[in-house]
Amino acid sequence: MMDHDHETVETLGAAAVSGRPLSTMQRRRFLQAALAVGAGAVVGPALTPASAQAQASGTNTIVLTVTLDGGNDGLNTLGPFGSGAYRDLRGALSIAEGSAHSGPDNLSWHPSLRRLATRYRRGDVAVVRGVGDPGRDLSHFSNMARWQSGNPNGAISATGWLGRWLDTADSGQFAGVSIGGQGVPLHLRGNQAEVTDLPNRGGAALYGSDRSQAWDVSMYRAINQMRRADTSPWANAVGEVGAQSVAAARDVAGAYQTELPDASRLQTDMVLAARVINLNLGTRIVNVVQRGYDTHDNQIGANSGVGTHADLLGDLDLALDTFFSTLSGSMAERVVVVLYSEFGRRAEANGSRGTDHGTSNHLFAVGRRVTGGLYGEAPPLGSLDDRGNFAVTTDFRNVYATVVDQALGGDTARVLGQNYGTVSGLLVPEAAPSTVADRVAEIRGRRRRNAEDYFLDRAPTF
Amino acid sequence: MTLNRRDAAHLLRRAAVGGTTAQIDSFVGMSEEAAVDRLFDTDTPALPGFGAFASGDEHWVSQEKMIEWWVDRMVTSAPSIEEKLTLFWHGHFTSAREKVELAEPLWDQHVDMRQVGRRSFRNLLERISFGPAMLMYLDNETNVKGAEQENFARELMELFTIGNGNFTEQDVVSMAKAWTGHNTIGRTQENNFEYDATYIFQASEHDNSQKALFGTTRNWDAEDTLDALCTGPKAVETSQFIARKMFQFYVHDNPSQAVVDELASGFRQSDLAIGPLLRSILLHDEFWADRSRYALVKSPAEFMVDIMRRNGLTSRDEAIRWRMEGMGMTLFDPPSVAGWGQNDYWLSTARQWNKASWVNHLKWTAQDRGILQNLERLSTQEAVDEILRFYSIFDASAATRDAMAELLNTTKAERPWAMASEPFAVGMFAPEVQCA
Repeated sequence: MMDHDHETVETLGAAAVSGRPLSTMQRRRFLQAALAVGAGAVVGPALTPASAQAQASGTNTIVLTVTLDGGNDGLNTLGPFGSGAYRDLRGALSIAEGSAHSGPDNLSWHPSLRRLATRYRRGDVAVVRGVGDPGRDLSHFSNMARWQSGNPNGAISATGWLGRWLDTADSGQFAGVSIGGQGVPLHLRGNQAEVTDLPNRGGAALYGSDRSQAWDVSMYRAINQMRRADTSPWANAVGEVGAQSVAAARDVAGAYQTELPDASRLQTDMVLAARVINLNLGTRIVNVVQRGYDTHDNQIGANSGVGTHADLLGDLDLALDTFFSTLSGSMAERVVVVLYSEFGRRAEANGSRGTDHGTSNHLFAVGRRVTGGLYGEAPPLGSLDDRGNFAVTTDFRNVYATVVDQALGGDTARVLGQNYGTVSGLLVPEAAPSTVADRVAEIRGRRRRNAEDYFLDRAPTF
Repeated sequence: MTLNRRDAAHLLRRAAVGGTTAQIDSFVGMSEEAAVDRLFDTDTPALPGFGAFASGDEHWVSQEKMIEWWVDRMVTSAPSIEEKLTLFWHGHFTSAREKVELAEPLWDQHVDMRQVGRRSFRNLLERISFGPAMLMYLDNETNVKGAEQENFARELMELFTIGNGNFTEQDVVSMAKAWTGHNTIGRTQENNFEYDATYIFQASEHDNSQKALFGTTRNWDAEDTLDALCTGPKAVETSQFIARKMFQFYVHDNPSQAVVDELASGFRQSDLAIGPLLRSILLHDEFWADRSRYALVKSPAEFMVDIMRRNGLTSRDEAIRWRMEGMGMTLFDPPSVAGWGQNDYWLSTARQWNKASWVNHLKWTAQDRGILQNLERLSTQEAVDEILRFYSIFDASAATRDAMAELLNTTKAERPWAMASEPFAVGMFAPEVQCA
């Protein structure tokens, strides 16, 4: 046993030096080996994930999905607030154009989205219109499951589209990270890939992070041994996640060294997302959830600028800025944020100052790797389906194909089950990294062009 | 067959929210039927009125008291079917405090789950659907003629009775219309615009038009739709949906269609009486099969209640409420209308870190309380047995036993002062203890 473990340590040491990522199985065996030879060995440098892991698939883009849970009302997020057709549909739910922020193509941004509107003008926001799953039901759960599964024909599976990419990438337990401690969402679940779920508080108590005490290490070893209990499939899974949490703890502890802000759940989660990316652990996929978009009633308050939806979007608007300003400079260049919902909302308002479940929706991509602008065909306001919903003009899997192919360097057919066309031009092709001096000069130039950038960069940092 | 310790422990983990080894032993030697009957027949403590939790306008405080009350009740009451079955309905007919805000409607709903939860599904569905907590949670309080809203109508079918794929969009439209006018009193001048959550039928707001629902066009009203779902054209779908979900909650997550059909058929024959359905599940061969043992992951409520009972803890000790939230389960506040997930839903590094940090803290409390003392006097194997007996695990795997033995030996040799705390902790980490 000991000989075998020593061999494992040596092999893994060599792998780390050569820049090859440690596979999940290798990491696990490494942990076992390290524990077997005692506490001292654990602190060795080989366990520190090599930043070279990030290059595993030839691209280095980091994809942050923000799940707008419940079905965001895309029409009131970015809509033709000045048009009569819009006001006819939305009545008391209409956004007053005067309070909105001007956007492209006679569209305006919701009053709560001042910072996102500015970011759009800066060229860092892509809006794909009419995105959805053609011809489906209007259930939260099956729509979310289909979106997160990402299969042909809307099949719901136990694995999700980004999880299957993680399976192919096999680049360690931090390649996929879910934020908030609410469990790993379906779209990050793969067949083998381990995803690290980070709690949005209590980082000081990440069990497994302290390797200095012999009694802790004895317990870590016991936890690792009980992984092989083989009592039942779920008992095995319990054992796996126990060992996984111990193995991951020390590496992610840095994200909690400074106390997390006492802010909204989303703000806190987005700070944590930025911090874990900054740790450079080879993270490529991150998910954050913002709940509460199921606005069947009281979607809007006394005026356009207040109410449930205004509060949600205001929280999101600030959180996006907080995220980018918390990211280190080099990481900020690498991130694409994808904002998606399981569906949009009904074109016409209901009788409760709210909206019922709809179909197609805007999908937003934000970041420096995005080519800003409008994509896809806008579903016409005057041509609704028999439930009064907007047409789907872009299959959501075309957006996924774009992300898998151009941001993650993955095999689209393998990840999505078949080939899908990409949304042309949405992402900037990855170029050789420019020098720091080039980047600083470019940013300064942009700032001169647009004074609002200055304020963007002054968003709160934590 | 008569129950041995392993069987009795399995039964109490599943049908009840666990039990101490002494409680388990009191079921040993009984037949399966007698043991299950005893869990059905055990008297449960009387329910307090809402006054026990009232806290003026501070509804959040009242809800906290309700959570603490429930946790303590699960910990201290004798094993019976009531607490686990209430947990089942609590995750099925969800209403989250985040949206309902008021405490009393949530309490009333909870009482309904306890009082009707083992009787007629049709009655339970009615109590819940017309209950103020649900009217508020899924917005039927504002569903009125000419301005229908579909939130409740859709979830009534998708989540509460027949499941997705068994209704059409036309059914959603008609269902919403049938439920128009079934609202709450809301804010009225007479009541100084204070919100009144009492159910009210507003005839003028009800849509009396002909509506096509489940293939029949007539002037459907709310009550009729519940009949259609429970005893009418959708009876088979409802019985199968509930039977499957209950089997998955009590046995394992992958029942065959034949088992579901068998249970659903009996459920219909008993006019959707819930108690007999649960009894059939608990007495099913599949329930007692080897593959069903430890085949579920304990929810945080089950895990914590089990540990608290063994340590004599109450909800006011050890920041229990805060710990529960970290593990992902705040009672009365499910994450969505679909309630909490099962099994893999509870498995993530974040949840595990929260669990482990509780273990690591609790081991010192346990040591202070004199739990697992004197292990150093026993042989290693005897000490392993003692740990497992404390956690009522009588069929531990070899790997678990080996890990415990090694930890005991190391601790005894290097840290004899930790011969209570470390064995206590390693028990809580055992997959068998974390599973049900």
